[in-house]
Amino acid sequence: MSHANPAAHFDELDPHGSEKHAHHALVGPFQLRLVLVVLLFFTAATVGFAQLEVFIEGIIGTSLPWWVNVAGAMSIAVIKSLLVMAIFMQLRYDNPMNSIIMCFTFAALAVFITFTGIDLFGRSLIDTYKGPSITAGGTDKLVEKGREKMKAQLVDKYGAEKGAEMYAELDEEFSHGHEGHAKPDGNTPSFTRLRTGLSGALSASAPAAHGHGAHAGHEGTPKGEHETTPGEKPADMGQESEGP
Amino acid sequence: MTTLDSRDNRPLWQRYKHGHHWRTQAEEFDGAKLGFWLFLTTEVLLFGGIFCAYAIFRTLYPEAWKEGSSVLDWKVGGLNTAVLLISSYTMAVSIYYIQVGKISRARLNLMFTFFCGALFVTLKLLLEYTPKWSGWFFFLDPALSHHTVDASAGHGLLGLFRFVEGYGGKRPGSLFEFGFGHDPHLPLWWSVYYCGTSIHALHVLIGMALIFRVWRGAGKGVYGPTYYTGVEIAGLYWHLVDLIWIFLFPLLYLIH
Repeated sequence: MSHANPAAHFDELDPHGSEKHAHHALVGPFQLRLVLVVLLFFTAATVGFAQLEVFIEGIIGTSLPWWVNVAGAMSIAVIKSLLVMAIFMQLRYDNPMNSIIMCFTFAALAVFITFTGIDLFGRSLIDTYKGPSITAGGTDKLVEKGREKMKAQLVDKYGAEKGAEMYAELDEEFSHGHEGHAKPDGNTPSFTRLRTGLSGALSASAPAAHGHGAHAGHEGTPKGEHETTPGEKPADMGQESEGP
Repeated sequence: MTTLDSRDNRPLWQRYKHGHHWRTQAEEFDGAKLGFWLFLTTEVLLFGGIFCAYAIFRTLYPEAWKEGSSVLDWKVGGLNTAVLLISSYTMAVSIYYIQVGKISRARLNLMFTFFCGALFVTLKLLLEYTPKWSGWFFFLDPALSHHTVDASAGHGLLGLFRFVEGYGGKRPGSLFEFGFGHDPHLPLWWSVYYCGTSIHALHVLIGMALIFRVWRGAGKGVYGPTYYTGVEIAGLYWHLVDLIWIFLFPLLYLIH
C-alpha cells in the first residue's frame, strides 16, 4: 500500500510529501492480454452453453429445468465480472477498502433479489389463507396450486360435500368476482388497473379486448354487454377482489 | 492544482501539486479512487433495479420472456460483447503505458478504446434499435435471414437497408402496440430490454466523453507516470460499463 504508514516517512522539509510519488501496481500488457483472451473464451463458452442446451433439448425431446439455463449463463458472467474487477479494475492490487465497498454493494443486490424471490416463490404458501384477496398474476400456476391446497383443507375440515360447496363459493368470488364495477376506476392503493387501450392491440385475447379496461370508468354499463365468456380466464392484471 | 510558473519547463504532470489537504499525492490518488468506487456502487444499484425487474417479470411471465428474447440475435450481442471486452483491455493497457511513461502509445490505446465505444453504439443503433423501431434492416444484419424482405418497399439509403413488413413498430412507444405479439406481457419484456440497454448505451456515451477528455489531456502532458488520476478514473468507469454488459448480454440474449 502506498500509504501504509505515512508517519514513518514524514519529512519535515517536505511535510506535504509533494516530491513523493505514488507507487502503484503495474499490471503489464501480458497479463492484461491473458485476461482478455480468457474473457473472450468465456463469452464464446456462454454462447456455446446456450446453444448446447437447445441441442440437448432437441435430442431428449423435452426442455431442461429453467434454472439450468440461468445457472450456466450467470455463473460464467460472475467469473467474467470477477476477472474484470480483479485485474482490469485492479481491485486485487488496490486498497482493500474498495473491494469491501464492492462486496457490500453486491450483498445489498443479493438482498433485493432474495427478498423478491421469497415473495414470488412463496405466494402459494400464503394463498391458502389469503386466496380470496389475492389478485391473479403471472401464469396463475402459483395461485392454482394454492387453490388446490385450500380446497383440500376445506374438504378436510367440513367434509367432502360441504367443503366442496364452500370452495365453490370462494372460487366464484375470486375467479370472476367483482370485476371492478363497484369502483369507477378500479384502483386501490396497492393495485393499479390496466388503463383503456393500453394493450388493446396486443392480441385477440388481450386484457383490453376482454372488457376490464373498456369497462373501467363505466359504472352504469349493463351486465349483458360484458364481453367475458364463462370459460375465459380473467385478465392477469385486470382482476381484483374487494379484499378482506 | 498545476502551477502556472512560466520558468518551469517540465511537463504538466511533473509540475502537478496535490491538494493542500492531502498529506501526499498518493493519498490524494487513493482518496479519488475511493470516492469513485463509492460512485460505482450507486451505478451497480441503478442497474440492480433493472436486473431485479428482469427477475420478477421473468418469473411471472416466462412465456413473454421466451418470445421476447427469441427476437434478439445473439450474434449481434456477442459481437458487441467482444467489442466492449477488447476496449476494456485497451483501456487497461493505456493506463499501464502512462504509468511507464509511454504517453503516445497510451493515447493510441485511448483512441482505440474511444472508437470501440463508438462502434458499440453504432452497432446497437444499426442492428438493434433501428430495425425494431422502423422495420428497416441493415443489409448485413444476420437477423435479416429470419424474415421475408418486402420487395415492394424498395431499398432505402443507397440500397443499404431492407424493409421487413411486420417487424416494424416493435418499440414500447405508440401505446404498446404489438399487433403480432402473442403474449400480452410482451411490453414488459421490451420495457426491461430498452431500459437496460439504453441506460447502458448512455453510459457508453458518457464513458467515451471521459476517454476523449483524458486522451486530449494526455496530449497536453497533463498525465504521466506520477500523475494519472483522471485516466484511472475514466478507466474504472469504462470497466464498469463492460461489467454491466457482461450481465446484460446473457440475460437478454442467451437465457430463453
